[in-house]
Amino acid sequence: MHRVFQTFIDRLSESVDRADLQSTLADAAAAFGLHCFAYLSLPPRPDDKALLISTYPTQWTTHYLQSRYERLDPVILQAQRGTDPFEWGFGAGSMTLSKRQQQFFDEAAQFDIRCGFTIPIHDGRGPVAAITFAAHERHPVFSRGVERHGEVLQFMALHYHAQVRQKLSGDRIIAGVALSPREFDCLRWAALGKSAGDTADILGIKRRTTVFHLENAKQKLGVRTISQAVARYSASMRTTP
Amino acid sequence: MMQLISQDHYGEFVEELADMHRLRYRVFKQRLDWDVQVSGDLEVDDFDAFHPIYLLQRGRDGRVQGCVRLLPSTGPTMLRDAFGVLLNGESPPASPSIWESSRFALDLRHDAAAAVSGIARATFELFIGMVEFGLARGLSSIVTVTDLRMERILRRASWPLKRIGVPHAIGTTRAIAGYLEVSRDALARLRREGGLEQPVLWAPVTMATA
Repeated sequence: MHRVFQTFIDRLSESVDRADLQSTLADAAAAFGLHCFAYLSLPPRPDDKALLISTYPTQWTTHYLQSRYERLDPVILQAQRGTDPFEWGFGAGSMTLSKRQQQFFDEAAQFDIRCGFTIPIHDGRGPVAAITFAAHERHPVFSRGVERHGEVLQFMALHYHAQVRQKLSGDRIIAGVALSPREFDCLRWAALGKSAGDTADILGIKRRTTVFHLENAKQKLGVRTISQAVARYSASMRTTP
Repeated sequence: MMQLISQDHYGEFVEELADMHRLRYRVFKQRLDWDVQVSGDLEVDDFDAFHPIYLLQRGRDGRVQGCVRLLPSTGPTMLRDAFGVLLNGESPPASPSIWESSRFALDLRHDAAAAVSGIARATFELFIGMVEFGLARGLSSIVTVTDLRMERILRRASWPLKRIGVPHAIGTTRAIAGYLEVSRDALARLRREGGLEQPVLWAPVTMATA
């Protein structure tokens, strides 16, 4: 277990793209007897697309995302209600299903996804992501894997989420609004007390361009002045010392 | 007892690390009610993804009761990326001789042993561990974002924070940024105040970080 975790951490830090991130978690899960997983990062705005990294059949994941199933998937809904990891399917937990949700589970079952262990991740404002390890039946290897390694899987899930955010999210989220990396950079330097001219020098862009990005950031955040945008930026930094 | 855990040993100490994230959950989520990222009873943030060095303080019963996280200031830091507002227009430090400490947490039993100054022995062990780590790495100082309560404890422990800027309200906290001196003098003062004569980090560990 110790070696699996170390390899997982080392490979995570070396991962540069989605394919790396996918195989890193797939291999770690396999070492615990868990043969497929899905990481779903919920979009900051309901209309945006969810980010999914998984080893589920592509046909299913494509259909899932196109149908916006994250909005009715009972597993995701439960992950949004609480932060404790849970098991589902085949008698584990009790879920009251609507007709559409029952259909959804039936469809998933066609792809051999019948039960699983799900780890929710929340921040101060609510649910942000969930990782599920799934199986076609509650066979002993799966149950043992979850029972023995549930805690370390939870820890791995949090590390995974942090790395995915760092490596894949081009956009930076401020107060629930997605800013482009440039808008974010300009705002960050403004928050450090730099003028548009200073920021332009630091980033190697024109002053005009800096002003343009800051204007966009203001507009997206729905504020009138740079100070207000900076205040939003500072307030929304979800990190605390 | 103190433990230093760097990335190449995360696997070996995965249970201790999980205990640390549980301690951080108790302190930052439950006690201070900060806006932090959690799953179940663990708290992990984006800066844990940059493979920091962790110092853990464990009680006689082996329980992790204190921790602090250390990141080089040449990479992403909380001060640079999250708390720029505390810099009062100054540039964030970025030097091989400065590291940043964050997520300093203690969860002590009520009967925890106190040193002469009324500050828990575990607190001194963590402070001394930070200085010993700094000396082994050849650092001149540790930069940190902390709150006014912690600033008072540091002053009473004779390891005063050299302020950058003025306090700002961040969430429910009055936050302040500043530098902590890393020197033989600082170490001697902390050892005297804390009544601790021996190094808190094992010598081989200290060497390994150099």
